[in-house]
Amino acid sequence: MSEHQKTIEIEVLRYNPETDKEPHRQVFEVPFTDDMSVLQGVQYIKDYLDGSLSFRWSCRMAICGSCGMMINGEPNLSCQTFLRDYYPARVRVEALAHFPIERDLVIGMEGFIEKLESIQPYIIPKEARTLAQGEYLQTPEQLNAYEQFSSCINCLLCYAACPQFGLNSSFVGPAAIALLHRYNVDSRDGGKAERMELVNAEEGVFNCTAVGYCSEVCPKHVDPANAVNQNKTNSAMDYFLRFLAPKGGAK
Amino acid sequence: MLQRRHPWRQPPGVEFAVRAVRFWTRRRGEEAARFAKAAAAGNSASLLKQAQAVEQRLVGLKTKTGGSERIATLRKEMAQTMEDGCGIYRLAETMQATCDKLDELKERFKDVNVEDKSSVWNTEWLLAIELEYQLDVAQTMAYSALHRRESRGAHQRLDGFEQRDDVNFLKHSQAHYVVGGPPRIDYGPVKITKSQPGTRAYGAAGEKAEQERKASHV
Repeated sequence: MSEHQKTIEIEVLRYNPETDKEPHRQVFEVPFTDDMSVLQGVQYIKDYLDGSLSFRWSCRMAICGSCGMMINGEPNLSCQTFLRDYYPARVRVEALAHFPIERDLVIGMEGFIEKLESIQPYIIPKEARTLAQGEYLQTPEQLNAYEQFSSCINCLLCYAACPQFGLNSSFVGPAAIALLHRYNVDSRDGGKAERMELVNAEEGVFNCTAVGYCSEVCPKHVDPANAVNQNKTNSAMDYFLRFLAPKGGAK
Repeated sequence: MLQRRHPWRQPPGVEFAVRAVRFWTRRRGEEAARFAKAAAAGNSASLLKQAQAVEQRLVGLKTKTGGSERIATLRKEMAQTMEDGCGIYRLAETMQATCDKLDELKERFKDVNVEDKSSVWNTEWLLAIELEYQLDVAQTMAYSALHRRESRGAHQRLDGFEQRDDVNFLKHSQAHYVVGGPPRIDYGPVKITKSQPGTRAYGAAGEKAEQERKASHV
């Protein structure tokens, strides 16, 4: 370590369910260079200062969606947030807001996984198709209708950003609704009627108060707020359809 | 390290694959059932003993105290010595140094310290388990490379073995685990079906080789 080595203070919210009654803060002095991400700072702590610090990470390049944390109170991927942007002040890292803490910076994801399963995140074919008929064809327009909403990496930053999810954790929430929308507007899919039940439900889109912070923090520009709010319209249409068309609308 | 569930990431076409898998799984399942009915019962006491030995070794990494080696230090030294000795261009001297260094690291690993004694999301323990296996793999690579006295593919020697040697080395290196020591290296036969070994040439030499190849096929 050279004399000119800069160090930054990283304050970490720690929690070990086996020994701690509640989360507490711990501050580490971390030597850093300008190219170091917050994730690398946290890794330095684990490697050289305290091996018991636990956090999720994998790709280090904003692809896998594992390393989301609250960084100075804002949800962000720690791999694409840089220590130099906080220096010389202290940087504070905490587990993603609105989720139960399993250990240190690791949150429990079960609730989200259940929501993902509930939206039936796969193509429910519109019509039976045999192998001999070959692959589905789509026009660029048809692809364009859903492509943006298929870029989600399930990092859960949008849930940590969503005040309504914070108030009511049964809200299906931004990422899951964006993905629901992705399948509903796919020209190959015929499952919309099934999924609309969830859109219209108590835990559906009308929990959203159009704050839009979810889209702001999304590292993949999925714009979940757009998907959620398009589905408020869809839900309203669905409601009226049930009076107009014999088979229209969800139950 | 992370097994994340991505059920929604099914690309089109997966359904066909799933059907094929179901079909073959059923066939294999039926075969397995026939085998299970005919075969004698395994020795479950012996299996349990083996499993317990593995468990004891792994849990021991976490429960022991007083170790003085940091996981990250060993891991970084391992990575550096692999860079030094087992890059693309290789020399016996540096490969030998890498082998020696890996032996040293395996020895030092016995003194590894896992600070985290908890049982919830203990990723430090996981890193220790991984490191031990990484050292085994590194030894396999380094010792196999040292014994391979020829150049082939990404294994390019600059110390008198610059040529490919199909007579002595058109074979698979096999590393055998040896308790308390480096792996024993021997060789197994290679079965080549379509892609015969050849010189990888580029530029003018590559064009010439390509022309010769075409001419020989006429």
